[in-house]
Amino acid sequence: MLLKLLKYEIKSSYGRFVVAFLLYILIASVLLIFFRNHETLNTSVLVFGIIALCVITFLTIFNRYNTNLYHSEGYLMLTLPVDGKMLMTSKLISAFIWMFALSLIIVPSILILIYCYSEQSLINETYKFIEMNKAYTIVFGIEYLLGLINTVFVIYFSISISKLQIWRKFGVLGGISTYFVIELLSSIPVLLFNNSIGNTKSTTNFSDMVQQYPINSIVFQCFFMLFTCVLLFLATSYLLNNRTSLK
Amino acid sequence: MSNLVEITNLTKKYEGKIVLDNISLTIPGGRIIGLLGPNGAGKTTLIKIIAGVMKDYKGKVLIDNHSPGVYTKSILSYLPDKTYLSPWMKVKDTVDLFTDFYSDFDKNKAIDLLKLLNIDINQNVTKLSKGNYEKVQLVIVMSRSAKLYVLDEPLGGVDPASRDIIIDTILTNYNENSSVLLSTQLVQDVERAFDSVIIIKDTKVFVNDEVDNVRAKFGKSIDELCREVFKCC
Repeated sequence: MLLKLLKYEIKSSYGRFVVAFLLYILIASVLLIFFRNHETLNTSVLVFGIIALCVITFLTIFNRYNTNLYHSEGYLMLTLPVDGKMLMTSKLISAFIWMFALSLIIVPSILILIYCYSEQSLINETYKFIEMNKAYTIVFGIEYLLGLINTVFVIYFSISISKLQIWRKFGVLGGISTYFVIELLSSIPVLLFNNSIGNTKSTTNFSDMVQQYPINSIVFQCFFMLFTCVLLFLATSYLLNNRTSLK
Repeated sequence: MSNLVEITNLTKKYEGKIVLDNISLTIPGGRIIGLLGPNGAGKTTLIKIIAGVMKDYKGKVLIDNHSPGVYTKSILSYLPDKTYLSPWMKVKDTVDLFTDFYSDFDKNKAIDLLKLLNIDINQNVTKLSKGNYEKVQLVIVMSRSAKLYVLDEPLGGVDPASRDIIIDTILTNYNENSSVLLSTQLVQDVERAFDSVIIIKDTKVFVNDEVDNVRAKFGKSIDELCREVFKCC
């Protein structure tokens, strides 16, 4: 059943993603092949394109969950003989597929931009850092992935909460409040493990990053996010099975 | 024959207002039951609860001795009162989807019925006229061998000429051991098909009896009863 759900999930959304991704690749290829010397133009267009792709991807993923389950299509999806957990899993897997496809476009784009227009030393420094800190890099990557997954879970749960009848006409407000409360609770481990709230993962100064964002903190964060994901998955499935009332 | 649907003391509130008030009723197998009543009486709410798309109610609802859930969805074929197919779908995609998810779905029967109704299976559902869209939904719902068919206003957007075709589609395609619960405001068109009727008025069951008993009791046809008693059926 899961594969069947996934098949229709992919069928329903691949068109928009394929068009957006191909358009971006086409524009980026033309710019980098024929106008390679125009650094400002290329950097601006590619960065804007990456932001646009991220917005399209995430909006489509969340809009799909909302309309497919809670609008008129819900009368089809929620009368299929499948459990809420199965529906959730199919939505999550398809969301990860599209996010993975997005990362396959974004990461090479950034690498090409750095390779073409940044100092070679930055690439060498990054390579050296990865070579020297393989475990750190892997854990950091896992944390980044879990962060993405966690975001999808939080938003799916918030959408489901916003559809509860207790809110009456204030469902959107209820959903947004739920999102911020969960995000606030999720930040507790960061506050506990780090003295400075201003820690940032985006710094290019690797030694500072390792110092301010130690590996044990990241590992704890990973476990906490994993726990949150499981909790939100069960809670959202429960809402789908037991608290959903279509209008 | 045992009861296919058993509803006991069902109360449903929506936004603080009581929509169904302490309703109890049973639906046996092998019957065609008309669910009638004026607008806002609670027919669609009752149907949604039986179909499992509306929760948060008080009371007990059993379909084939199971609470609404995965099992009841596998034996119940539900036609909602709105268009619910995904906009990306062609007619053939809807047939494939039902083939994939319902083991009791007869794909050949669905394709034959669609041909009979002159519906192109390669057409996108968003390109269908309202009437044809409703016919597609009805065909896929009636192409299942379900134990219970729950049809909410299947004649709503259909022209008078097509109504007979749709009624015939319902009557000739449902399994004789199954029951059909059919909600409609077009009572005259479909009255001949009913074995019994459930009339809901002011959130309560007003009548739940055999068609002949209702006619004898009120001295009127069901259509006349609805027109005179409710003034809006």
